[in-house]
Amino acid sequence: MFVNILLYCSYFILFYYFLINGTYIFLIFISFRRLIEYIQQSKNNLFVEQSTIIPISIIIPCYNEEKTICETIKSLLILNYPEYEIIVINDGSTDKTLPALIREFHLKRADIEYIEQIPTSSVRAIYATIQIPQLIILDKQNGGKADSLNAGVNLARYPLICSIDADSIIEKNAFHKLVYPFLKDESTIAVGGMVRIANGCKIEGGVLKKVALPNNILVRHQILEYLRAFLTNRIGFQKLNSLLIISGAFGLFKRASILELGGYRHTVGEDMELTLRLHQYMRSNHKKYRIDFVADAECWTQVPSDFASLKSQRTRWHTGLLDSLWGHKDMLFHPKYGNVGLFSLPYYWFFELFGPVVEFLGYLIFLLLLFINLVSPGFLFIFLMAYLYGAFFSLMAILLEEMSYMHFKKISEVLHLIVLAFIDQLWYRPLLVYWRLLAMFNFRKNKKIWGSIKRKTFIQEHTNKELKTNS
Amino acid sequence: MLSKFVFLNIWVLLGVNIFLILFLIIYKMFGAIREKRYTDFIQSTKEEFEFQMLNLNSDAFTRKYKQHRKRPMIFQLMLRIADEKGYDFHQLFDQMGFTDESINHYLNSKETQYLKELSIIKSPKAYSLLLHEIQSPLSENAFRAGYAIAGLKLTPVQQLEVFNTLISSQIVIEKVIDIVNLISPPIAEYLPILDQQTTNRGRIILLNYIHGKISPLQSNYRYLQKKLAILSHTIIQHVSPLLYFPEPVALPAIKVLGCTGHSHALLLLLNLYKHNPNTSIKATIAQELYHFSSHEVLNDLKEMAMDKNYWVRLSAYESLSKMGNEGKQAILELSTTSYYPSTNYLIYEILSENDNLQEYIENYKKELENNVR
Repeated sequence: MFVNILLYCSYFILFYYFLINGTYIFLIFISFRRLIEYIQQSKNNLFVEQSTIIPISIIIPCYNEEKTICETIKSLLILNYPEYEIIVINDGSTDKTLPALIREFHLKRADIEYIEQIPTSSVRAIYATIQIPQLIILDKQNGGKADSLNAGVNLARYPLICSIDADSIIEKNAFHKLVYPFLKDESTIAVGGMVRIANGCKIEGGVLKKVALPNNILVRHQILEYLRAFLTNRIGFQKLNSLLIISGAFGLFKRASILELGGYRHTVGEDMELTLRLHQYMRSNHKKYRIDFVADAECWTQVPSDFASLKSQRTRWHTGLLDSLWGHKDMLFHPKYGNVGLFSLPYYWFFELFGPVVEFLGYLIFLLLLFINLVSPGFLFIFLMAYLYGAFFSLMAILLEEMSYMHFKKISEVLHLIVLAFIDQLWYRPLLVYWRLLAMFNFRKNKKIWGSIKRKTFIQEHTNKELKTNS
Repeated sequence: MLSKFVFLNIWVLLGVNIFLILFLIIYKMFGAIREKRYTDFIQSTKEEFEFQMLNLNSDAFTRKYKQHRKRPMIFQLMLRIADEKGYDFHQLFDQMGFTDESINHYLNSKETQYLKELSIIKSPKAYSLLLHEIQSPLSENAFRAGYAIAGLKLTPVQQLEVFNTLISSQIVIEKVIDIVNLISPPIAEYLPILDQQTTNRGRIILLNYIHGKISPLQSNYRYLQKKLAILSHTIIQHVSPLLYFPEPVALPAIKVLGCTGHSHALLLLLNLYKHNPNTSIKATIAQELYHFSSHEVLNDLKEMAMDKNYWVRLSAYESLSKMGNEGKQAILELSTTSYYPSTNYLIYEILSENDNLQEYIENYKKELENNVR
């Protein structure tokens, strides 16, 4: 009986694997076609991009970001974009974020009018300087990331809102590219950009000088993971107009749409929750809309380089995923929501949210069968097949990267990525599965976390790498 | 059955993965070599080809290259040269048959790259196609057609036709303004069209266009000043009713009236300032007042500099700072009465930017002493 149950479970897992791999192949196929269109588009865009723009309010929520925030602002101040403002929201940081900002940019208290269109925790002060009129710092009591973003939306003057992380560097022409869908189609309400990993890259004065693979193996795995997620997944969903995540690290929204929805909600994954709510609202009200993704608008961000930070980040992400999906469970399989309800949401529910459960079940059944001596060579081959599928998806992501943006100039770097595609599933993926499972078990506890990563300054990050290389 | 399927999968995946690895390595290695060869080819042939495009007459050029075996390459090279130099080679493109080819390719595929080709070719042959495509439901095709048509030499009748098509199209306002700027029709003839507009979209586009055209007229050259003075009456007549439209229309209307620098426009703006509670409108009015003569606006600006809204105050100070010595004196005077901490800081920054803060303070002291006496 027990053995039969185990066998049925393993058949279920096998079926699940074919389903998930089939979906991935479908998404890769779409992404491949879309990426070719992107490349064509960026060739043609040049003559149009220069002249027209829509002003942007860039919101940077920060909590204990004294190490990177000044560098991030400097990188934003040299952007090649004619009209924008930078609103930094200091969400009651306990470190020296605010003094560092005041010192670096010679800020003074300004009695700028703050109209609370979306309720937020109380504002302590607003700082500005006439030398950099486009920079405004809002200091408020701690209220979480969503609360900070809402405060930014209240203070913003421009029609487009861009939320970025405090540890991000934006490529010089990224906003021209990101605004493009809004100029192309008036019904566009949100656009996501490509998030890339800055660890190991050479950044000087807020400008990305050189892209390179970092020495840290954990970060290298994340680079591969980001390539997979952005180049195959997001582009594919965008093509179906059913993108569910506009990354909080780099996304552009129509301010009017955010206000219409009452702002960001206090959840862990506020970016996904807002995107889902936008889909729900627009489709329920039969409004024409587009949520787009621009793969060549790039933002470079620091990712965790130690296990504790990575665990914290992934726990937060998975909690956010569960929270957002649960909050919009009524959209699942609902034909009213089109591709979102019938394709994207089932994908996120069954492959992203419950993927770790099934994967863990797979490992468990394999160990149990091994224990009761029932593992046939067939079983091992199924595992081998799953392994080869995993490597195939990673290799496809590298190929897409190489055929489009070619950030890694050296052949040795590409070879490194190829090797990673094969060792990724041996330890990195199981580790993520374990953390994501933990996140599901500790859902209630994790819901109240702001989330922090041990930051290094961008200079420190690159210097460390060079020192290691030299030694 | 299952194991056969699994085995098949494994063999296929193994093959595909090995193929991908080899492909990636070869692609990376040969990519650099291929790129170098291509740039070398372009560099070696481009100069000679450009010389021939410029110096051979169109018949001779056509005879030489029309039946050339590398025809597609020649088309790309011609496009590249025309694009880089901005020259109008449409006769060459027409005679070589490239214009017709691009039009046909576009009609068959609707791909935007052919619209880009047409925008570089600049042939009048493409006019009717481009005009039709401005109203395309495919938004990208529509605005690319708009940009392409803006590059053509249009007659006044065609300009108006394009303008009306652009207004009724689905292209976003910002891009339409840009396209109209590229077409650059004479504003005197387009001001009456402002009254005929039935939508705010049309009004916003025209107002922004007019603003872009008249703001360079505000200069020290007497010829330009005269031109602006002549236009001012007509502008005020057509634009003033729009001041009381919704904010997106009112803001460019304020800017246009501000640019005229005419005393009648000033009266209209001050009246609007007094009766409109909208802070964006108030701030824009304050921002535009520096266009008028200082004796007319100084007191009003001083009042605006004490407004309870930060942005109105900032705009008033910015306006004052652009008004020469009188404006700076007024800022200094305000510094003694302002009770907003941020305003005092603004005052300090504006005055110290000019490096002659001391001079202003001295002048101000003298003026105060005179008043006391």
